[in-house]
Amino acid sequence: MPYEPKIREAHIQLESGVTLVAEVSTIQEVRDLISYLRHNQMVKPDEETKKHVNRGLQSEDRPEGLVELKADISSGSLSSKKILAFKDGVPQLLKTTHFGSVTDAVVVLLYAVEFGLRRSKIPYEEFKSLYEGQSLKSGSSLSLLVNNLKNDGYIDKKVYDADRQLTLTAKGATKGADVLQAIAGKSA
Amino acid sequence: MASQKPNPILRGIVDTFVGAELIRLSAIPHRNRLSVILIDSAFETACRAYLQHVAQITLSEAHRHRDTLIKTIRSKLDSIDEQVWKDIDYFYEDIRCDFYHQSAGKTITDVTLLDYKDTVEFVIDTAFSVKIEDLVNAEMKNEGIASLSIAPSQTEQTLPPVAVLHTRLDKMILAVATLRPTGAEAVNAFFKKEGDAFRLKPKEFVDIVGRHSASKKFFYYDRAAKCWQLSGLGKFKLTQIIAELSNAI
Repeated sequence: MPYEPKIREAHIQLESGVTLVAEVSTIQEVRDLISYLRHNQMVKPDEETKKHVNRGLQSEDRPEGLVELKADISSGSLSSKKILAFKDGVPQLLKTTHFGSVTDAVVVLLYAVEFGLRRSKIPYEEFKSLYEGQSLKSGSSLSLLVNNLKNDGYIDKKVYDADRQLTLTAKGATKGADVLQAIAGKSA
Repeated sequence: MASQKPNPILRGIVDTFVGAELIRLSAIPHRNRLSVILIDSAFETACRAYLQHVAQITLSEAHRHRDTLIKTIRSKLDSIDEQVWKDIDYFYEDIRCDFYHQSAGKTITDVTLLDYKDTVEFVIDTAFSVKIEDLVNAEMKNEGIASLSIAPSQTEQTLPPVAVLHTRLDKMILAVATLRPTGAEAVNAFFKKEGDAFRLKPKEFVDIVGRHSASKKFFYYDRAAKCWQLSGLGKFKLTQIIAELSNAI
């Protein structure tokens, strides 16, 4: 008789961040559950899941790979499209003319820090050093750009006002991914 | 160490910022209120200095009035966004004048003050093609005033010993942050003093700073002070080195 593991429940992490707990007792019920969730577009289809898994493995936790995976852009496109690189672990915008505005460039830089370097927040002064090293041309001070981003809901207002640290909101992270996708093209 | 002396035109302005920093970092309850007043004074005197010495405009009686002064400098610095001037105007009219003439009991938050300071520094940097913050930090260091700010340019007090760093680049970043060296000799004297065996030949020094002063931009040569300094990316890299070391402990 083939081995039959005892299954009690399945925990499914949805993209929205919600964890779904389902009562299942057999492998077939797990299959049916996945099929049901796919049918209702709550999880990605097979091929897309494989692609993400493969890309995740290939990236080997390189900051570029982490950013590409998170922003859903093709592996290697940050470099091939001359968008962003991490030289000696420091994010650098390779071609600043790619960005429609300095604000977009600032969001992408924060995106690189947050998802490439895996830092949930960065002190303003430290980010300012990074920003100034990018040779971006701006008619505004960084503090004004940051305040605009704060007012637009891209940067967490509470975190900034409390201790002058920068962290993207969910809306800001989406904006960062949108900017990268607009330059690199969405992953096929 | 190369001593960084500001342009004589900027000397008084730098000192005003040093005064504002000393007050900001003090325990005086109304320190931010007093800092705003000094920063605004630095801004206004910088505007006059720029018009007189850089734009070479003969200032008239009319320029004694703030609005005429600002109108003139705005026309000369047209690369600066409208929002910057509006922000400075708001601070002048709604905050600084109130603090200076009327409300002794009011103050502003630390973050608001730093944002205002950042915007004023941006205008001065654009006008004089300098980094006024670096000049202020250098002046504070030259005068032996320890800054309590968390700015990467001011992290000297928390810099690690050279011996715990493993790569030539990391050691060079630390040396340049500490010394602002002119060449290999100063860097080698620093390593010797720190008890580290690492030494650089003059050519190796030039190779490292040269390789990282173009595309990687960790270093730049300050022609005015005649020394090597850390660029913005270099300062960021330094904070990463420090963070990695503290995570490893």
